[in-house]
Parts: sequence; structure tokens; C-alpha cells
Amino acid sequence: MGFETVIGLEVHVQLNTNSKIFCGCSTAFESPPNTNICPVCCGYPGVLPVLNRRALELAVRVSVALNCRINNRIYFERKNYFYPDLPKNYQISQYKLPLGENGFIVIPSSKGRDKKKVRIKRVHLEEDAGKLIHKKAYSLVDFNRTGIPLLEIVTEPDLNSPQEAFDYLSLLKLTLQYIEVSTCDMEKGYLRCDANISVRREGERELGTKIELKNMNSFRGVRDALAYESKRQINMLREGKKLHQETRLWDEAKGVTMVMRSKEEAHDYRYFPEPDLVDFFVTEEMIEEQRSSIGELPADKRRRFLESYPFEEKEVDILLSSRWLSSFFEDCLKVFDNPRNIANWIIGPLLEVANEKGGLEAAKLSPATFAKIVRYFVEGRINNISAKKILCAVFDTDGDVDDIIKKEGLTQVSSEDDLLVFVEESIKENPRAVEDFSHGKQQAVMFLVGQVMRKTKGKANPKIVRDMIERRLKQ
Amino acid sequence: MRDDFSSFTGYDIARAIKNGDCSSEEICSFYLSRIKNIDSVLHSFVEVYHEPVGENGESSLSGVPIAIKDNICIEGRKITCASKILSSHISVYDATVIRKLKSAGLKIIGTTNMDEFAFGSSTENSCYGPTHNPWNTDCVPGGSSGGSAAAVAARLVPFALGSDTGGSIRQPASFCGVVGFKPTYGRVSRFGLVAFGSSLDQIGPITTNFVDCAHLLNIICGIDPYDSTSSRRPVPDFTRSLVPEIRGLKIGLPREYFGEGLDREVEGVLKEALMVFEKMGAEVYDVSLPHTEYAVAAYYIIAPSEASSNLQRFDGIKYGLRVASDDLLSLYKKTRDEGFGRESKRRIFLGTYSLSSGYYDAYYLRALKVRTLIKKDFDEVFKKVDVLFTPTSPVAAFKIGERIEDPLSMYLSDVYTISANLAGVCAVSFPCGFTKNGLPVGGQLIGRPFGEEDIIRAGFSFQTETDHHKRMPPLSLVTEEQKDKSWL
Amino acid sequence: MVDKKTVKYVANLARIGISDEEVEYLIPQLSRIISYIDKLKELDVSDVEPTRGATREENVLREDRVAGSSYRDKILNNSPLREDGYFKIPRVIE
Repeated sequence: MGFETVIGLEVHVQLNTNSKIFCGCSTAFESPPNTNICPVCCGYPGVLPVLNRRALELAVRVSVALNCRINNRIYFERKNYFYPDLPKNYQISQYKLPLGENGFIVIPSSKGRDKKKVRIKRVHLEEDAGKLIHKKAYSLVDFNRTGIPLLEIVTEPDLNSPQEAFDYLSLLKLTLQYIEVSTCDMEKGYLRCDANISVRREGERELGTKIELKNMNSFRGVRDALAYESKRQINMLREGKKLHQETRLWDEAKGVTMVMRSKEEAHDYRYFPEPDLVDFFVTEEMIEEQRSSIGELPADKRRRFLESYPFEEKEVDILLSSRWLSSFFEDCLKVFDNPRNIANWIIGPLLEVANEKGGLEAAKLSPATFAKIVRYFVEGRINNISAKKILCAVFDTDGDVDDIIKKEGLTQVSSEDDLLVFVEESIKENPRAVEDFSHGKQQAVMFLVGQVMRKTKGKANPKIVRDMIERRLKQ
Repeated sequence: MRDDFSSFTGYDIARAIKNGDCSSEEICSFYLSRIKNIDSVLHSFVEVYHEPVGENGESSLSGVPIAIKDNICIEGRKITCASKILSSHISVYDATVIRKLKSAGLKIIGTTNMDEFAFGSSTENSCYGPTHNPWNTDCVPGGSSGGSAAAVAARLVPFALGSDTGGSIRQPASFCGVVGFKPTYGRVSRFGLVAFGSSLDQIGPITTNFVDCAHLLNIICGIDPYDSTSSRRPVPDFTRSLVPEIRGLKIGLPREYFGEGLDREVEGVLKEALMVFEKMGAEVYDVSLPHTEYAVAAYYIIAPSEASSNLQRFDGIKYGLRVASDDLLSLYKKTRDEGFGRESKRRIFLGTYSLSSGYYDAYYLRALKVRTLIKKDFDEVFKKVDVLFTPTSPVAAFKIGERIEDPLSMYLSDVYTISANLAGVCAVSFPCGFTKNGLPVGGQLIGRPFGEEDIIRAGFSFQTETDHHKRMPPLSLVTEEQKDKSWL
Repeated sequence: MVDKKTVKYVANLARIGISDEEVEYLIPQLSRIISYIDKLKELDVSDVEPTRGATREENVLREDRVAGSSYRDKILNNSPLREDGYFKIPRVIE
């Protein structure tokens, strides 16, 4: 008999505001310990929180992007528990009345898999906790992160495989990046994910015993932990063993999950409305303002790209991998409407150069400049090698392409008259290649083309050179 | 004696300074020496600033000394809330009211004793020991702002700030024969007031008279961007309400406040006070606040619940007391066991219990609903009358130690003051007379939300016709040395 | 009413270590107070909205601006134990 895996995910994402959610401290990453702190975020006696407008707006934006029903009047509550990373020993969070509820996101079909609608149970705003650093004999506390606005996004248990969970996370991250609410950098802790997983026999209606998984540090980690856990639970059931509701930690190095705490020590958070804040009104104007700032979401864009361009899914996914890149692509088309070549040059050379030069974020290159390089290449005015050379030069300067061509003399040489002397020289200097060719070795032609390219410092039109060599050798 | 300012009001002193009759330094040293000579008996101050803290600001009270309850933060100074758990803590910032006092040119001459974290009605729950009532040093001064009230009553300082969560300004004012004003919730910023019951707390002035009260309110009221619950409602000039004119003012007497439990003598004093109002042309009506009998119960769920959460920050990690331990859990437990006094623990337990899973709906949520009913009672009654007149406390000051082992009866004595906090309205206690043993009896005027002007006008009018507020505590309290100087 | 187990449970939630004698001392006091506040159960409040605290007609928000912070040293100096700019605590076992 088969088993079904049921997964729900709880994602925490830091919103990219300048200041913390309830005080004016900076949210800058990697500041020296306890530099971005003040009486408010350190829970000093007598302090009071005041909500950051931007944090509320970004939270509304996410709720809109995730198709949530937005509560027009919200309030915060206190979640009470003692932990040294929580200066007040309560977290200002939302409980009974979250900002967004009953949303959904659709994972598009791909690689032969059907599309999947994942329901979003709730989206709520809260404050982040500080950081603990564990030494051998003691621990250290840093409150820099305390009070950074955090959004909790909880799904219904709608995911049925580790891969589905992975796909959901990828789409969620892309969406949050597109709407510019967070960089979602998991390594920096801007995005964190916990999972709930249970298994049940196929056809059963009741959910199985829920296990909470923590300590996954990457999407791959989430997928691996879920795969491990799903297998473990199915094996337990197969062996007739009972599962206990518990929290387990993923051990990345060992590739296993281990019990953290069992449900007996369950927390009693004593939630109650935060009396230091008043109710907040999420007006239609605020919602509309955020809606209009969202633009086309990645899932919609993907569908449109697949319909409008002759690309494969894989190519589209690369073009959509960031909002910057996808709009760069479409902006290029406005200048040079040749999707195939623009896409090829983005997916190939541009990303290569970006990799060498510290990522796309570093790019100063404008779509117009890039499109011009591709157009010159397609028109045969420059060759492949020169085009790449120019791309390298303008990537972080957005310099003038024509200037560079002129200065470096990169205009492609396509005239047979001009090339003849180089072709003849190469043949004369490489009798062995000529002989190889006569024995039927086609590669010899490419070798000779390479020689010509070297002699012309890469400016020769390789197609014409090849033509000339073949004709010459067959004579 | 030329240099005796003890019968001066704060406003008198400010005018004297302005006129060049004396300097702020002279005034401060006068009060500092009074504190030195008298406070060993009263124990109303926690810390005395021999170099008063202040700035050269301009206001109708500039240069006048003031004392601050030890739960309001003053930058660079100890803030302890009379708790061992905060015993060495230095505030790193000024409360908003302190900023305002400084820029108004007032001189802070010290911090005053209180019940630990403002939990109490007697100032006996202090890690520094109790404060004594200047009218009878065997008696409590009331609480929790007992230090402020006793200091003002004994003229150790012209006025002081207190805080009021369920009567903590008004009840000690009543016991000590001074004016204690709790503004409407949101009128005064709570930023820098160490929170007890966040939805109930208000800072307010304790003065000998309504003139000083109005001037101080002018300085401390107003919206604060650091307090989300502070009101954006414009603050009127309260000194404009200092007119002896209450003809046609409708005074309501809520019958629930004059029933069982009210001391006969206190009732007698209030009846006489009422006649003063009537004589001046006020109209008196019998009214009802039907849910009054549930106020104490609702309060003792809401306030301890909020307090239990507010006090979680005292954990031995960031500031204050820490009892060392090898593991974190026992560090928390030992620190909080040693750091908190008995009453604090009782309230923390009570609040934690009310909020814990399984009890929330039965206690906390229900209390919030009862709060709505109490609020509606006030809304209704204020459609008929302008102000309410009630006793502040069912009794005059009781003996030190008399009720300390019976917390419930102590809680029940807050019955007349609690509703104003639950409803968020403003209220003031002012001296209405004395018992035959010479203990002061306070009457309470309750006004509409943001109706401070009505109760100031009524109180001021009363004080133009009476002089209970001018009486000073008897000589018996001062030391032999002081008697010789016969400064009174 | 309130028993030993409840008092101990609540004390643990509140992270206050109390002795057995203290528990015994507190039981009758808390019981009396709680039976008094049970008075609220007399009222039918099913149709009543709770009053959560202050209400305001407009949003009370601050703009997303960084205010320079100069509190680091003062705040660290107030802490009972610190090391290299951190607050130092007993080892936390996850």
C-alpha cells in the first residue's frame, strides 16, 4: 500500500526596510555586535514601540501578491516566552487577526509536472529576535537583528512532495524578490523556513502525526530534510511503530533529522493584544498603492514568455531568475527585436561576464548598449570574439560600443581581398594541416581558421575565412 | 521667617523667582534642607539630587523644584521602581515628561518612594521600606505614589509626578491631603514610564492645589511620537479653567460609590464638601454606574496580566540584578525570585495564570468585555452630568502593617479609583476635610474623556471656598531639632 | 481552586523559582483573589466587544528613517556580564 506525504511550510522573511519595525535603529547586515541597538529594541524599562510605515506597506504588498484577503483593521499581540535573544521576553507579533489570510500561489507546470495551487493560510507581521553565538562554556547575545521587521508566511498542508516544497519556496522567493520586499538571501538569514510534515496511507482522510522540522539552511536542505523525514516516517509506519508529535532538527552534515523537543514541553505563549500599540487600518488606498507597485508577477510573466517567445522552459526560467534580468531582456527587445539572439546572448555571454565580474547587481550595462552589441553581431559587423570583448568592456561602464570598436579596431574583416593574404600565409606555414585535410580530417580546416583569426587579432569573419580555406584546399 | 517658602505654592515660587525676590538655587536649597531634616522620619525620597537636574527653560513654573516617582526615567540617573531587581540600573534616556519638565525649566530634586513597580496601595511594598504618612507617621501614605504624595504633603517639595494605574496618584493624594490628578488615558505620554498596566497607566501631577496642578498639566500633556497611545487631541490651556465659577455645573453622585463599605466619617466629610459645590450653584444629580461592582475583578485580571508580560524583561541579562547560575533557566528563576518582592510575585502569578492557555477566554477576554460595559456606564452617565463626585477611598489612611497580609482587602480598597482607569477618563482627588483623628479625607471628581477642564474648574472653585488644602501636617512629625527652629 | 501544581506551573511560566513554603503561602491568597475575580462569570458578556486599549481614528506610524544610535556603550555598561561587545550568558542548550 502506498503512502502520501503532507507538507506545510512556514517561511519567515525579513523585509528590507532601512530601520527596524518599532524603533529607528538601522537594519544593516554584518554590523559589529550590538551597534544597531537602542533602549526600545533592547527592551529597556519604560520604552514603547511605534510601527514603521514601510514595514506595514511591504507586508501589505506581499499579502496582495499572494492573493490574500486583507484584514482592514489589524492589531498586534504579544507572544510571551523567555529566551535570551528576545529582550522583552515577548515578541510583538500577530495572532488572532493576521494581516493577510486565505491566499494562494500557483506553482506553474514544468518538466512534465502539472501546475499546483498552494493555499496560503496567513501572512503576518512581527519583530525578529536577536542572535546567539554559542561558545564552549557560555553563549553570547547580539541584539542587532532584534526588531528587524519579519513577515511570517504560512501555507496550508498542500504540498505533497519534497520537490513540490522546493518548487514552492523557489517561486515564493522569486515573487518576493520581484516585488522588492526582501532579498531573500537565505545565507544571511533574510529568509528562513520551517516545515511541518506528516505521512498517511493513501486514501486516508485524517492527517498523520505532524512533525515539525527546523534548522534547514537552504532550499536544498529543506528538500533533503523532507525527503529524509518522509522516508523515515513511512518506514516507521511500515514497521507498525507509532509516531510522536515532536520537533526535529535537520543535521545537514549527517543528512539526518534528530529530536529537538517533544510536545509535552509545549509552550504556553499567553498571547494577548499589545496594549502599547493601537489598531492599524489597512485602507483601500494603501492596498491599491501596493498593488500598483507590484507589476507582473513571475508566474504570470513565465506564462507570457512561454507563449510569446520560441523558448524552452529552461531558458525562460533563466531569463526570469531575477526581476532585473527579465526586464533587461524585454527592454533589449525594444531596441533590437530579435528575441532568439538577445536571449542567447543573455543566457550565454552576459551571465558568464556577470559571473566573472561579481554578479548582475554590479552591471551598469544598459539594455540599449547590450542590444547594440547583439545587433552588430547578427549583422556581421563584429564577430563573436569581438562582441564578447566589447561586452566585457561595457559591463560595468556602459561605455560607447562604437567608440570601442573604433579604438580597438574591432570591425569585422569580411572582405576576401583583405583576408586572402592571411589565408595563404596560414596554409603555407602549416603543411601538416593541409596534409591532414587531404586524408579527410575535417578538423584541419578549423585549425587553419584559428590561425587566421590569430593573425587578424580576432577581427576576421570566421565564416568567410572557413569558406575561403575549404575552397582553397579543395583546389 | 523670611526664608520659609513652605506655604508657597509652586506657582508663587515661580513668580517670586521671576520677580527677582529669590533665586531658584535658594528655593532648591530650602527644600533640600527640609528633606534633610524631615525625610528621615517620612522616608518619602529614594534618592535626593543635591545638584538638582534641569535645564534653563522658560515656563510659568521655571526654576521650581519637583520630585519624580521612581518609575519615570531620568537620563543618567538610577531608576529602580523600588525593586531590588533594578537596584543598580541607570536610565540611558529621559522619559518624555522629563524632557518636557527640563525644557520648562523645572528642577528635579529627587526620586520618590513607591510600591514596587507600582503594585500596591500603601507604599509598603518597597525594597527601601515603607513611607510614612506625614499626618500620622504610624499610618501609610497610600500608594503606589506614596512617596510623592507624602513629600508634597510635608512640603518637602512643592509638587511631584506620580503614576496612576488603578488609583496610585489619587488614593495617596487622598491619604496625604493633597491634589492628585490622573489625566485621561493618552493625555500624557507614557514613554519612559516603567510600564505596569500599559492600557491603564497615566502619569499625573501631585500638588497642594489646583493652580499648580493646571500649570503642571500644561507642561506635561500632549501628543508624543514615541507613544502610539498618546492622543493627538489639542491640549487646552488648563490655567484658563482656574475660575471660581461652577453655576449650572452638573455634578453626578453615582450611588454605587456611596454604599456598603464606605466609612461613615469619610461619607460625612464628602457630604459637607458637596454642600460647598451646591452653595456655589452646582446642580447635583443621583446617577448610576451599574457595573461598578465588577470593576475591581476586571481590573485585577487586566492589570496583572499586562504587568506579568511587562515585567518579563527583568531577567538578569541586559540590566539590573543577576543571580549567577550555570544554566540559563535557573539564572532566570533565581534572579526573578530574589529580585521581586512578594506583592510583585503575587501579581505576576495572577496575571500569568489569567493569560495561560485554557484560562484566557474565562478571565482575560471576559475582563476586556466587562471593561467595555464599564466604559459604556461612563458614556451614559456623562450624557446627563458634567462631572462625578465620589469618595477617593472608602477609608482614611490605615496603619502600616494593618493590611499587608491580606492582599484581597487591599485590592478592594481601590474600588472607587479603578473604574476611571478602566474607562480611560480623567479624575482627581483633592482634600475635602479631615477625620476626627486629623487624617485627611479626599474627594474624587471624575470627568469625561479629555474633560480635564471641567474637573479643574470644579476643584479650583472648591479650593477658593475652603482651606483644607492649606492645612499642613502637624508639628509632631518633625524632629526635636526642627522644632527648635520652629519653621512652621 | 488553585492547587500546588497550578502555582508551580505558573511560577515556571513566569520563570520565578519559589520554595515549597512560598507555594503554600501563596495558595490561599491566590485562591481567595481568584474566587473573587470569578465574580465576572455572573455577567453575560456574549454580545459585548472587548476593549483592547486605546483607539485612534488614524494610523499611528513612524517613517522608515534610521535614527543614529549612540546607546551601544551605555547599554552594554548596564549589563551584568558582557564580552567583546556581546551580552554574556550561561550556555544555551538548544
